[in-house]
Amino acid sequence: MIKHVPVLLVAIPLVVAFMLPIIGMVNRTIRTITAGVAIVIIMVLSYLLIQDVMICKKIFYYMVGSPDPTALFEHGLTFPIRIALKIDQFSLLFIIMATTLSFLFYLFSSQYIEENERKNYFTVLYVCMVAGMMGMLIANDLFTFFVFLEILSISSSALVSFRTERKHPPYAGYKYMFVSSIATSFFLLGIAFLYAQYGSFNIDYLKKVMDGTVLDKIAIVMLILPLAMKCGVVPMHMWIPDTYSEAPAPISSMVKLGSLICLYGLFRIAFTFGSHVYVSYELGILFILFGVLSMFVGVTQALIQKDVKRLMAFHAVSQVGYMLLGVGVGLSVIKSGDASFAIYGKIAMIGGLFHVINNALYKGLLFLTSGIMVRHYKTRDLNVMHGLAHYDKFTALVFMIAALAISGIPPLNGFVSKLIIYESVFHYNPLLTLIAIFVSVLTLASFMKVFYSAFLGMPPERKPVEQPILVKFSMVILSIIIVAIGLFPQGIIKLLIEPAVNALATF
Amino acid sequence: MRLISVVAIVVIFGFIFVGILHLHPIGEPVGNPRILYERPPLGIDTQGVTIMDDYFLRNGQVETGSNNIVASIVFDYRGFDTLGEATVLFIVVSSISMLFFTFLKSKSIVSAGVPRARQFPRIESRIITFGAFLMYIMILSFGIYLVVHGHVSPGGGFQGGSVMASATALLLISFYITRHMQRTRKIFSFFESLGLTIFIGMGFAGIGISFLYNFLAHGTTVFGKIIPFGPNPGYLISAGILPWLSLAVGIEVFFGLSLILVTLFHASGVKNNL
Repeated sequence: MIKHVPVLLVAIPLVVAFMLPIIGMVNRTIRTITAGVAIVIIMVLSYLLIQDVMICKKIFYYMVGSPDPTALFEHGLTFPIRIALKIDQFSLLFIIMATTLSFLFYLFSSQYIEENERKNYFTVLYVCMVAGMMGMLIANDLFTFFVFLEILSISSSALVSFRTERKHPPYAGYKYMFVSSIATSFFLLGIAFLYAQYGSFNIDYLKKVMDGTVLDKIAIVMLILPLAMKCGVVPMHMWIPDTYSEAPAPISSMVKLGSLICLYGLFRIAFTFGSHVYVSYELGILFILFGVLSMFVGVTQALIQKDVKRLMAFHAVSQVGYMLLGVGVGLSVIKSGDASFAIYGKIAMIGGLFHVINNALYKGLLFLTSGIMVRHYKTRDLNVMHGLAHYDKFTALVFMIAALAISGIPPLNGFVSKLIIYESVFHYNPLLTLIAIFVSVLTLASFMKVFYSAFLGMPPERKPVEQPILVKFSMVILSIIIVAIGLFPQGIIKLLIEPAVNALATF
Repeated sequence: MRLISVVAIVVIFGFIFVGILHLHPIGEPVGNPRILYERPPLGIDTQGVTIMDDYFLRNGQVETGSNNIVASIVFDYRGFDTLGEATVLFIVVSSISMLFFTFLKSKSIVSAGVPRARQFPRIESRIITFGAFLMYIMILSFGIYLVVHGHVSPGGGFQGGSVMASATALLLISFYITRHMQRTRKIFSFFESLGLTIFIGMGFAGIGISFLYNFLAHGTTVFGKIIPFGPNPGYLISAGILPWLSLAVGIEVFFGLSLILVTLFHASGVKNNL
């Protein structure tokens, strides 16, 4: 049965999403529970794979519809004719992150979003979003990757404009839809180039037959730039502030998670194809450039914001920069021929991938707390907010944990990954480390501003309503994970990150 | 600013053009052009097959039992992508239902006080309504024909479903579906989910071997007729799960697109009267 796990990770959310409209007509409580159970099942399935994939270094292949799903090639051919799914260490790292976090955000949203008939559609689209993420993570086939990228983009753009009764969310959703459709069309064009030349969509097969012509390089650029656009790196970040700030709080977290899944695709394509077409050094330099630009522009834009969710959105841009910096340094030295990869390149990649996980945790938590703030004050303007900590000490504490983690203060998880990035990037170029530390200081400054305006000061005019139990529960779990990773980072680096980096580097 | 965008577009298209120039020469396909003609009539044959397309051309008809190679690729070899595409349509329908929900619930539709004639400029013409009804039956039958013969002749679930949904559009503009809008939407939504559930259910039915495995082909009594290679009159009871998948997609596309049409029609009707 365990050989079917790759396809079940997609099929279970999809079958539940298809039946949810019917279940929602019958009973809304059952609908909420069913969707939650589907996400729990795929979460448990992904944990079951840790033993096999991470420790025993086994790679799961699955050919959908084949008489023997684990056999790579049928009838003695040298190329696959069906859709290939693959779970290796690198994708399992992201699968575990995505399932766990989407379950926690689902718990939050199940009581945060008010119960009415529209919540049926909300739940359907949420589960489809999870299915889209899973499909992108397990696909070993460029076209399947594209299809699930579309599923992710369309469902998240609809969810961004969930509050249609207000003026701005439909515009934000439309903008996101527009940007992502441009990105996915160029991605499709890149796939078309590769298919016209080599007659296959399979990533492993393409890696084998690519011979480094101009066409390959153009196709790789066309695959990488759209994914960078979907991650929101700086020259293409114009959709991020609107999308993240107008969406409901759990959806902001989910869209952020989705952009990290696009980062997975970016790394995967860069490492798989880059080293074979002899452009890994150039791609690494491009990633570092993107990373430094994103860090700097994101944080300087965030400093001047008065809107709490826009501020957090610009910090999301600047955090993506750290991951690109870490992995980009690794990518640029991976084929250099000397020992620099072993000395600092691999450590930089560990820092970058570790930062992906840490960032998903604390950024999700920050967006969730911003939802509670916005619901209490009925506005996102920081100048109007004051003194929530007088009544709601729980939210203040949780926000404090997340804000200190994103600023890189020692006992929390953000510190660990940032320190790894600083130390390893210092060997590559000390200037990059200086910029990264400077950005971190500015991050701390802007979050102190948020904490001061929203939580300290005169007590607010009215008492906040007590938060429902699941809302509190999901935030507590996220805070516990953040503190635990910060206190014991060795365990998770040994168990999850290091096998993932090895798998990525040996593509 | 306009200059910058023009330069950007020229650069992007130049980039694409350079890529096209480096493709393999036009007129020389990657694979083997005579792959279809020199082939034994039975069994899987991979002689001279160098890329994926060659395999489909050479073995698609025999392996899946479907005369329509496109259908065999869409529903069998790349059935997982088709599941994804059907999901995209499902998501679009759900999004439109969600985003236009406030329009549909607004007072001017539900309130009994406002006469319906003022909401929709209703044309009371027997010729139009009766003619539309006749056309409805004919378009629907053509769509059902396309869906059912998806694995034999050109057509299939997506195409047939769209043809059937155009019949719904005809009913809308001749003002058949103006009352009981919520009930209509519920029925459409139910059948849309049902079609998709059949699709993924057929996938789960083959999970003893693998997901979306064509377990009905190759000689079972239901839809398992082994067809002769080459031109043949076409057999409806062939191709295994392909007709079922085609039917499921047809149901989903028909009701999904109809739901979009009904929702947008009523939403635009509300907006005009505000």
